[in-house]
Amino acid sequence: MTPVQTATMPTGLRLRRLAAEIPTWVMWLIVLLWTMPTFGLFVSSFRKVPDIETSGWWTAWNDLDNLTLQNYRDVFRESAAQPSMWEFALNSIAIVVPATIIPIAVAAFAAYGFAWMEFRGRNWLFIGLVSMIALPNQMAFVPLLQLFNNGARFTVPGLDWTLVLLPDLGIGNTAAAVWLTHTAFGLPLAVLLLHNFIGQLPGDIFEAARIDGASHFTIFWRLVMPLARPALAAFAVFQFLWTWNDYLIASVFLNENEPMTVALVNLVGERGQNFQLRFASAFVIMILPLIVFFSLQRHFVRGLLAGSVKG
Amino acid sequence: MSQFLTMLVSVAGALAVSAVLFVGANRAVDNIGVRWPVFTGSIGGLVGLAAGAVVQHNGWLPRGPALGGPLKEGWIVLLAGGIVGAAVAAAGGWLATPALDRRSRWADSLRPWVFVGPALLFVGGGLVLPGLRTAFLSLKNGSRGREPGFTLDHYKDIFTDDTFFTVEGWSSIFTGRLFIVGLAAAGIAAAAALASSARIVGGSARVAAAGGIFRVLKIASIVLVALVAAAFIESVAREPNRSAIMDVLTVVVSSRVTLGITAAVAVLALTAWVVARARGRELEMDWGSPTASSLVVVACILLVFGALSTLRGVVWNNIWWVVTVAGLSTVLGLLLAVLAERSRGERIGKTLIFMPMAISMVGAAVIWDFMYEVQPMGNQTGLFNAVLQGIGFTPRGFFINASMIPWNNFWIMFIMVWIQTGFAMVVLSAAIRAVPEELTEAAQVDGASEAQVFWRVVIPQIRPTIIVVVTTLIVIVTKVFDLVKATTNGANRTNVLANEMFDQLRDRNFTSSSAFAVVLFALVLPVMVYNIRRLQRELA
Repeated sequence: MTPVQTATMPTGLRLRRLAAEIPTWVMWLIVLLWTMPTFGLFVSSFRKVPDIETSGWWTAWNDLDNLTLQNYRDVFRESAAQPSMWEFALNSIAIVVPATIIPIAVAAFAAYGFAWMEFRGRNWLFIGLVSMIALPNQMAFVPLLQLFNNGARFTVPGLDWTLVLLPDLGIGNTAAAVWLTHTAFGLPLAVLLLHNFIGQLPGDIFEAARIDGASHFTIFWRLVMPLARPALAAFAVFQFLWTWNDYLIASVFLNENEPMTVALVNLVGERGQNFQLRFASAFVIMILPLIVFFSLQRHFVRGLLAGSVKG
Repeated sequence: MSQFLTMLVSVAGALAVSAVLFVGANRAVDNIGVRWPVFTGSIGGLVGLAAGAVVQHNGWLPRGPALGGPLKEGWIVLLAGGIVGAAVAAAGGWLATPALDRRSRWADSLRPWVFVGPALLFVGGGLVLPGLRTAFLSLKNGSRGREPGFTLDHYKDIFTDDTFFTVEGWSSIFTGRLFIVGLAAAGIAAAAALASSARIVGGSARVAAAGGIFRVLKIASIVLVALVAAAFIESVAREPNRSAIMDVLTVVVSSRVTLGITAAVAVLALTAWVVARARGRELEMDWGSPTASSLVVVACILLVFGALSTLRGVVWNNIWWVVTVAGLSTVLGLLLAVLAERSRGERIGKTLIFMPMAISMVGAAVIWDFMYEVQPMGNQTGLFNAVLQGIGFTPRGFFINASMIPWNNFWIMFIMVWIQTGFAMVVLSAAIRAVPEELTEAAQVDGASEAQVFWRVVIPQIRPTIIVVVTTLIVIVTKVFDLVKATTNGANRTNVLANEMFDQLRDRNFTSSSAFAVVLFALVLPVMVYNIRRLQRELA
């Protein structure tokens, strides 16, 4: 719109044009408020310690020469007080990869079973399984901790007779304990997501395949898995973000080889010292999730919608 | 590095074993029809292995010379059990082979369990059974739950200890400024509900007068709710040297005079409505009026918020969290969904608001800790305090200082709002998109304004989604932990149930930790029941 045109417009129309702009302004104001905190931390992670403590990060652009990568170097340097962040990053990866793959594998079978197989109690089992989404994880911590550390015993009431149901498998305080826990906690949502998707696939294809003599396993492997790839990706993004960002489960089940989130909280605990490490570390932790988020946002949104919008 | 390699090896191993088990189970089911003994044999083998394991681990084996020496090697027992079981079962299957059609029926009914079995096993063993055991442990004596006998002491501790739960001072709810403000807003909103829902149809003078009163009331109520919001913000910010305008506002809004006026207004509105209604039904009522119903909702949220801010104890605090974050995130998310639709740069804006979803709670705590940073002297380095200082207010420690109680909680809650608003926005915005265009177009053709289309067509259409968003948020917020742990660790009355549960677990007080978990569970139980009923309806 050129100024000449605007000038010749009637006032009412011009006002209306202006009013139409209001949503844009309000939204971008909120967007600014929403991004400011992250941006401020990002800028601060490149500033020197005295600068951080004496002036606001918004003044950093006054002297850009003062920005430094030293904080990031410190984060990845091994010191007596704090191991290098690399170590925690490896721990994180060691937790996240299996904790993402295992639930997907288990849930895909189950979702197919619930969606396309007839058996007694199907609906009830499905409802029971999916309703576990709302169960607070805290409800399972104490027993799982005892199970991983000591195995499961059952003392027959009245008799002084103890059965070993599960021996001490020696996975207490290992990444395996965290994988299994994440798998159990992630499965209900995974089954719901995949079930909603797989259930909507056209049944005619499966019918045709059955008539051609394909078994359920063949149908699952050859037809369902390739077709369900978007849903699998959606849940993978979900579970990845969830496990990577998890602090609670890791700190309940691990005393050593902790992931990055635990390391960050330990840094925060020591207020005052390592001030600059906190910012850089927080960013190091965020990098991977943010990359995944921005590149796979489509899948993430699809997962969210499949899990919550339905019905 | 070593744990990394261990991870790769064990994952590969676990996946291989699972694949073999799954394919094997499928094969075994396939073989029911063709080779019955193979099927029974493999089942028997598994049973035998399990039996061997049980025998081994419970030490039921005759030790000493009975078996030619002590059997220490567990795997021999296992293997023996498996082989014996497989052999016996295969022989049995070979001797008694059922008819072919019965075998294929077996196959049909067994196959689903091969598919859903692993998931059921994980969820049953990882959530259901542990959940039941947690409930059981919470009733046991002693901190480890090993001692015999049951007790309700752990629950009694929670509900009698003032730090966890107290209704002492509950009467101060009614004198609390926020509550009075909320009450005033609720009264005004109710009056406005009556006012704006009435449409004048007839033309008599008295009805017109009633209509005039209603219109005045409607405007007055909007003004009052704005005042209420101002007082609310002032309360939450806990400004030590507040401005003169704020002083006047708070006095106006929180005084008993306001309460009186509100009551009078409500009575007036009611009478006007009754009169007009009695005079020949010239008023049409429309209860779904947007201004009124949204005012009522806001007032109710304020009321609950005000009441919860007065109550003390971890349990109340947790409930306060749920109400505030679920309410605020949903309202903000809806607002943004609507705004974004009419804005330029919708995609980028939405992505940026959505971004905090990818950031861990711990990371968010670090980010906001820095935003709220307060320096005792010199330049403020936290953005919020710098802004406050810039416009002439005193900087404050938003959640660090005890002087902020109870509003320090609110500033931590706001971090959660920051994270969850994107979720609400994305889901609600998709729901708004999914509203059939015929509906909105038809309303527009009938002369509905944009606001009317939104409140009377779009909102009813997306109501199920709003409920899903709210329930999802309730579940997420109830178990809030990381944020509190990483910001205040529960100091200055900011503690929540999950944090207390964690601390008890750390101290190895397994039973009282379990009791806290059960209380947490009780809080989300209504949502769980609701979800189950919804799923039932969907699958029916």
